[in-house]
Amino acid sequence: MNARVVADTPPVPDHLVRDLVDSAREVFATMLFQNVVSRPARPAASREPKADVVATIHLTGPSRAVVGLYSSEPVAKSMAASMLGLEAAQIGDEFADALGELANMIAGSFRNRMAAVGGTWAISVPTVTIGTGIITHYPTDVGRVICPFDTRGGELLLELVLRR
Amino acid sequence: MKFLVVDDSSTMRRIVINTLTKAGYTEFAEAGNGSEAVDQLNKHRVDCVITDWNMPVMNGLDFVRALRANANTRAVPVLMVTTNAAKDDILEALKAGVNDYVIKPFTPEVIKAKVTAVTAK
Repeated sequence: MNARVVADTPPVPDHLVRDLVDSAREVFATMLFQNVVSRPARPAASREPKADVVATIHLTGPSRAVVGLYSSEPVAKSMAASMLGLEAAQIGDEFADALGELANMIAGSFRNRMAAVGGTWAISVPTVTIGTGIITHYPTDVGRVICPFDTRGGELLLELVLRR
Repeated sequence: MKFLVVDDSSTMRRIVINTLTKAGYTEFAEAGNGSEAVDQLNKHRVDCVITDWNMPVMNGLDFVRALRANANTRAVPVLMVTTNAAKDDILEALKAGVNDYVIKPFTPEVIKAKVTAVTAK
């Protein structure tokens, strides 16, 4: 069954959600040395997810997609610390670059999985936004699904936005 | 042995340097894009380059072409570390002069093995 936001928006195929989740697990295992727990994906409501740190990557190919990472600042610092082999308390502003690189690797791995079944995909450089309670607005005719993960430092939300 | 690590992400530069430091290497220079890397090569002797592909200003592929076109640096071994995994991408990189290729995400063992291989040639 495909995940839907509302009845008149395009669906996000289950196999793409699985590819994205598998990509995130692979990146966490190899680059952050942790096995993250993924909880069931769910359709995104209109004013979620909210976060303090948002990293996004755009993909263009047979369709258009956005991969977004949403977390609190402490969780972003925890993930940066895992990548850099440091304690979270030692992490300063570099967590933004780390979250951007994390998004780059997850979206890159996702792109490679999609390309393996056909099509050529281009990937953008990551954009990282830092604030409080950030909400990203998309047009209503996109399919959006949120994949929650429990990382060592807390919850990370991974969003896939798809527009045919 | 001195490495030049080229990536627009300071996090990725640090990951690569941490990995090689644990493998016993001690000398590193860094650059945030291909243009900065060319400047570094003009100033310092480098024994091995590890470079990303997708970077602003000058990307990794153009940087490798510039490195191979310079008589002083054309023999320096280059390892490309990137998320680009398509067969055509890999062929394009090898054609540009890359010695070997690592796809992100990678394990520390892969980086160490590839560095050992390209620097032994």
